[in-house]
Amino acid sequence: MSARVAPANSPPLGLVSPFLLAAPFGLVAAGALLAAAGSDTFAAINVPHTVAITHALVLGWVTTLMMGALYQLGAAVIGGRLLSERLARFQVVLHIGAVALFTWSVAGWRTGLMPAAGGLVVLSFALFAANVAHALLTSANHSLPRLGAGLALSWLGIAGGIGLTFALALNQAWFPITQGRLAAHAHAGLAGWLAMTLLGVSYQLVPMFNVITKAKPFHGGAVLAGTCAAIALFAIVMAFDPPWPVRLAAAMLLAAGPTAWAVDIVRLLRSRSKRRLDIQGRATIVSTAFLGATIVVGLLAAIGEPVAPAGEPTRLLLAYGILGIGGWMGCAMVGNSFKILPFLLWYHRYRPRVGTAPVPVVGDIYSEAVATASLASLAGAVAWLAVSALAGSLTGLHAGGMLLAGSGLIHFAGMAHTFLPKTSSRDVPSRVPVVHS
Amino acid sequence: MNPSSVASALSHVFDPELGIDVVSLGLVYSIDCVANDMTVAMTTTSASCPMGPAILQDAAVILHRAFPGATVSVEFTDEPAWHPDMLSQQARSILGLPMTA
Repeated sequence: MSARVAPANSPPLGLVSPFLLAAPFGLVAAGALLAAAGSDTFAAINVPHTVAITHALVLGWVTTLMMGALYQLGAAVIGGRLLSERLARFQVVLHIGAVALFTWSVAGWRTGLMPAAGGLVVLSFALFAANVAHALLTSANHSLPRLGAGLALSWLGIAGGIGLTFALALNQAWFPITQGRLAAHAHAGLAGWLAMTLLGVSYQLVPMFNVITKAKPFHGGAVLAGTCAAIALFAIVMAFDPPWPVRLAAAMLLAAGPTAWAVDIVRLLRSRSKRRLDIQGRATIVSTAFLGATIVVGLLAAIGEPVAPAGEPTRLLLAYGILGIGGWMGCAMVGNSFKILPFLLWYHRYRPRVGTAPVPVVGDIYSEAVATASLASLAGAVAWLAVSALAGSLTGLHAGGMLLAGSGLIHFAGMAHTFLPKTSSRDVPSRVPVVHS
Repeated sequence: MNPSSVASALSHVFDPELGIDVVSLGLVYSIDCVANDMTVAMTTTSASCPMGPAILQDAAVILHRAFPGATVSVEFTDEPAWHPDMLSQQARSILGLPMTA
């Protein structure tokens, strides 16, 4: 089930590119914060510094990338129309400012500022959701990307709502942040918003970019519906801080959908006609491998203390978060970003010259070497950080933070490089020969 | 104007994602030339290819430029659905697929 597409609806380059250019700095900020993490990092998952790092990663980096991608995909791939391009241009400014302010307020646990900053973040979510929901609703396509994006927008609202409630209740303590509620909030955001988007759109993007015509996904709709139901159940169960056997059962249910999705993706990739993988294909494989590690560590984290290294469950939770956010989501988004921006550049800058001059193709617009360096540095940093977290090494986390920040800078360089003028790498005549009949 | 010269012009239309021309990709199913009219039937590698409509439009633009006096019609068809067996040997080489006999 795939969508018939409408590239003529492609939003302007100036609408999408700010998201993709700004997002790497969320990764740089998270890396810098991680490099300065204190010894309390292993004491609990909800110490202010760790919460700030998590929000820099999730909101500043991955969500910013995801928003840019959905503005593009909602219009060009799913086929609908955005509510307002002007609104989107305003929203990117609001989002970057609100996330920076919120992260700063959390890092210093400035409880007076956090509700206002959180409110601005949720306002950014609402403006984004209204714009993209319009694109989804005006599309006639009944596709998996549309279903996944629609469900994801709902979860974005739920995650933002829970988070804002935490912030508003900080001073009165009428909604205390328990471990279970924190897990519900985190999974509404990570699994509901980010993963549902990724699961949905990858059912279209992976076959499209890798020229897959023979195999079809087995599980598509069931993965999306089942995962959505499992997230809801997981969030409700976790909110009551249950004992570990219940947590494990809920976590296994939550992992079932992404596992079936991974099986689908591996099957699809094995049947691809484009045997030479580009950055998107390689990132998909790396990201899927990180999903496997995320699930294993996540199940161990659900059990908690009985299986935690040195009896410290925080180590498992840190490793789980790093693998899921940085490894699974981050690697996938980095790979796709090197398709989204070059496609937009090709469409708006080079396509009008087709037939009159040699124009570059998408592969000429981005640097495969920089893209590979971006993916490799991110994967290396994530793996290093996960091992450091499991080992309880603060020095390792500091070094990993610097690697993460470096990876963010490489990603930014890769995105910025796409804007440099490019020429065609193919040997074609400058002009189509004219035949007079 | 004949099918061969039309195909030659179409070989300047590239799938911008794959970097391979539409003729080598096997996307051009038929070329009919009658007097000053030409009708080209083309497909895309995938129904969900975001480049598909753009490629068809580019084909029409290039044919108009190559044959200024002709009436050009470029039509989309997905019958039969595109299959990798339709790739030329050159395209297979670029994609990393083994050569066929």
